[in-house]
Parts: sequence; C-alpha cells; structure tokens
Amino acid sequence: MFKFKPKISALARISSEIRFSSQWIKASSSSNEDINVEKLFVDQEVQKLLTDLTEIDLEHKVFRPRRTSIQQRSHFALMTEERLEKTRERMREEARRFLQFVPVKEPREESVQILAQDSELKDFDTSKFVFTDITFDATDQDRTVVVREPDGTLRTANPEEHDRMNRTYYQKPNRPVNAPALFADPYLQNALDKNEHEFVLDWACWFYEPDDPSYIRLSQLVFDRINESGKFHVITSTRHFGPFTFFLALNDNIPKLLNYFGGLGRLADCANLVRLQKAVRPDWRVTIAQGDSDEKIVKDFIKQNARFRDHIGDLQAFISTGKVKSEHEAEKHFGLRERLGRVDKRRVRITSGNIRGNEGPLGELSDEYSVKVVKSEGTGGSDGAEKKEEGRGRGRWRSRDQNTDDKKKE
Amino acid sequence: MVFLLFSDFAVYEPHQVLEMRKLVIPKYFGRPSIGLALFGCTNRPFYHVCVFPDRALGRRYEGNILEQVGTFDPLPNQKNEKLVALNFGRLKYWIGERNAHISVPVLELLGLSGLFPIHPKSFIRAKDNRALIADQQLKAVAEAADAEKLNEEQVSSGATSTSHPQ
Repeated sequence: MFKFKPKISALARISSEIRFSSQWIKASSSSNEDINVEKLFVDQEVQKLLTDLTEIDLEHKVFRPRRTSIQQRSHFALMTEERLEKTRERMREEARRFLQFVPVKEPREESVQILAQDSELKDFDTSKFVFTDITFDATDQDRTVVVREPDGTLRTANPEEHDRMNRTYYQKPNRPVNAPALFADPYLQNALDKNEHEFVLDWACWFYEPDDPSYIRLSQLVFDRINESGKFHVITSTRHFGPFTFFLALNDNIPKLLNYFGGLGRLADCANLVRLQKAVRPDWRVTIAQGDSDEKIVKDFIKQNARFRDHIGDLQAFISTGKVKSEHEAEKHFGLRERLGRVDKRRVRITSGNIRGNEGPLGELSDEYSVKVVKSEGTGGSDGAEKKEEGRGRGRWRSRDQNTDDKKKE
Repeated sequence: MVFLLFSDFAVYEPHQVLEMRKLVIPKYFGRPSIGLALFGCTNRPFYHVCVFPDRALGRRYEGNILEQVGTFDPLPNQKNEKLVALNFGRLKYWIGERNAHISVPVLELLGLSGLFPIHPKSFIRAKDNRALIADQQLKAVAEAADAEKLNEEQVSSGATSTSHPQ
C-alpha cells in the first residue's frame, strides 16, 4: 500500500546526484565540464568575494521607503557622534541579514516516475485525478503528489504540479495558485522597463521554491536583461546581486559589470570581480599571483582580454586618467543612482543648530510652526548620564530662550 | 440511618438503569465508516472525505462527523484536473486500527490513488465509457458516410435539375 513512498524519494535523490551539465551554465559559453554549481556557490572564498561585491547602501537601497502594509513614520533623533556611529553599525548589521543571498540551486528533475500502468482503466474519466497527501507531518518538499492520467497511468507529479498543489492546499499571502501574469513576457518587460527588477525577483523568490525549474528560468531571464541593458544599479545592494554576479562569472560574461564598477571608480570591486571569475573558473587563462595589487589584477585582465576592449571603455578611462565618469555622462546612463546621489549632497545633516530652521525636518513649515524637541523614549540606558545633563540644561533658562525664539518668529 | 440508605439503593436497582441508557463515546465505539459528505452549494458540488461513527448510533449527518480526512473536488479545474486531497496518515489509522467501513466512492478514489487495489467499479466505468466512445465514433462515421451520399445525390440531381428546371 504505502511501499511506493520511500521508493519515490530515494529515486529522486539519485537522479539529482547524477547530473552532467548545469542549468546555470549556458550552452553558448565555452568549456563546461561538470562543475557542481551548488557547491561552488556556497564555497567560502566565493561567498566572501560576493559579499564584498554587494555594497551595502543603507539609505537608498536597504532601508529606502517602501510600500508595505505596516505604517511607519520616519524617525529623527539628535545623537552624539559616538552614538551615530553605533547606530550606523547596528543598521549595517541588520542590513547584512536582509542581504542574505538567494540560494543558487540546480532545478529539480522534470521527469516523472511511472508507478503503475493499468490499460484496463483507460477512459475511466475525461480528466486527470491529482492526489495530494495532506498528512500533518509532510513538508512542502517531501509531500507525496501522484497523478492518475485518463489512460490509466499512475505517475508522480512533476515539479510544476507538485508546487501548484502545495500552493492550493497550503496558502500563503501573495502566493496565488497560478503564476501571476507578471512572470510572463509582455508584463515582465513592462515591469523591467520601470526598473522594478528587485520587486519581480523578490516576488519570484517568494512564489517559487529556489530549485523550481521555472524560478531558475525566470531569474536567468531577468539577469540576462539586466546585463544586456546595463542597468546594474537596480540590483546592486540587494539579495539578488550575489547570484547575479555568480551567474555572470560562471558564463564568462563579466566585462559589462566590470565596466560599471570602473565607471564608478571602484577599482577594488573590479579586482574582486576578476578574482571571482578566477575562483569560479579555475581553467581560465588569466593568472593571479598571491600578492598582486588590485590595479595590477585589473590591468592584467585588460591586457589579456583584448576581445572585451569595446565593452570596458569606462574602466580603461578610469585607469588611464583616474577620473570617474563625468557627471553629465553619468546622468545619461545611471539616471536613478546619480540623481539620488545629488539629492544626498544637497541634504544637510540635521544638528541641534538647524533643527528649528528651514533645513530641519519641518522644512519651510518651520516658519509657521515652532519646533519643540522632545527627547525620544527609545534611547537606551547607556546614555543615561547624557540624558541627565541635558535634563539639567533644559531648565527655566532653556525654556525662556526657546520662548524668545518663538516670539521672534512671530 | 446507614441501613436505611442501603435499603434505598436496593429499591432503585442501579444495574438495570445502566443497561437501559448505554452511554458511549461515538469516537471510540463500534465500527466507524468513511464516506463522502456533500459540502458546497447550489450547482457546485464539493465533497469532504469524512469519518462517521458506528451506524448503531444513528444515520450520518453533518453534526456527527468524527474527523475530516480529505476533500474531493468533482469539477475539473482549468487544467482539466480533478483534485483530491487525502490525509493518508489518518486514513491508515481509521482503516488499519479501527477497521472502518469504507464506502464505494471512497474505495474508488483510494484505488485510483494507488493506496488500494483498483475498485471493480472503476473498471466497469472505464469499460462502459470505452464502449460509449466506440459507439459514438461508429455513429459519427456512419453520419459522415450518409452526408457524403446525400451530397452526391444532390449534386447529380442538381445537374439534372439545371437541364430540366421544371
């Protein structure tokens, strides 16, 4: 009766181990021996290089304003230098947790196993019967799903059916049963035109399992389009940047990304990218000595790969002149990022001096309203002394000063 | 006093009373049965696979379902699939340990799922369907032949009629 269950899982395991070429390596890219991509991705050296390449942009990427179901207000606080640094470090720590890479996995086997063939049962019904085991212990991965075809064949479900049944019987928010239209082309291209790459990839990651063949197809499609269009800014500092860079390095396709880093003047990242390519493809011609400086590695790469000369103009310009892509040129290519950058420059840091003025959080409204600064409740016990002192300072004299300020404005 | 009390008990005869109203817990009593219970609404059938208590405790009704162990959606979905969900762990308990009686529709489903041998009724249904399909095909072939014949006749009669309009 239940004999086939262990048999199914055992066979699935074997078939996943015996695999010859990886789905992550394209047929067009040269020399693919059997590289174990999953193992290579979690290799410590590769992970370190990928984490270094993923810059942590707290303000514009990780903690940027997002549309969520939770309502939150931006929080302003006056801090000492020391506390500011501590807070930044804490945020960076949290950001590192947010930026954990999406795993790079080989797709599950699409072939199905035929469990029984009853030709006597042919045409018992016009439609397929899909049987799902909803036993409490079964997890989404090892749940038994079998299909009885109208011709009487009993077979295991393919990954698409299996995951669809999981989605049908175990619902989660924003995970409809059928794949949303966004993942297919006219709408996908629309979203990518609006630079919504991160949204698409995040949703795909939530909707599919990482080893779902359709997830791998979709993410590779998005990665390819990013690389084609050169919109690298949309994916930097997200949790998809690691797999993206890894995918490019595996397929020997890094010059465009190298050029992007070069255009921003990030030579260390360029060198890391070359190191990554070397780590991923040991058979690669470029040699890297142990003590080579970043500049030497990049220069060697340029010298030995003359075929990429057309793609890496910005990098060469940076190395020869030491100048980053000039502002007007940059605006054309990396519109969003540079615009954000300039806003940042214009923004003045809020201090106790200017918090009441036009440059404070209230902006121009500060002419009409008086700004009262209240110590926030969230401050920890570590700065209790500081608090006390401020409290002492905030006596009659302080309030009198404040009153005169307000009067002046009136 | 004490004696009096004892004598009271003797008058009521407690053993007889207990035999008259036998109190049982339906869950643990007798032989349960597994069957399809029709849920859903007008023009939209949907079945739950349910465990009911022993028939000695009355007929099946919604209020005395012991446990729901699965669902069956008889209307095919967009991809022409009929979805069946079965809690095999609990089914094994009710069938194996409690020796539950299983109704024929459920037996058919279990047979199709590969848990049980295929139920004879499924084979009969398949045979009937095949006969029906063969019959329809024959009929279609015959109709096509008839239509062709009719066409030819019309063409020939039409040719004659054009030469002799009346």
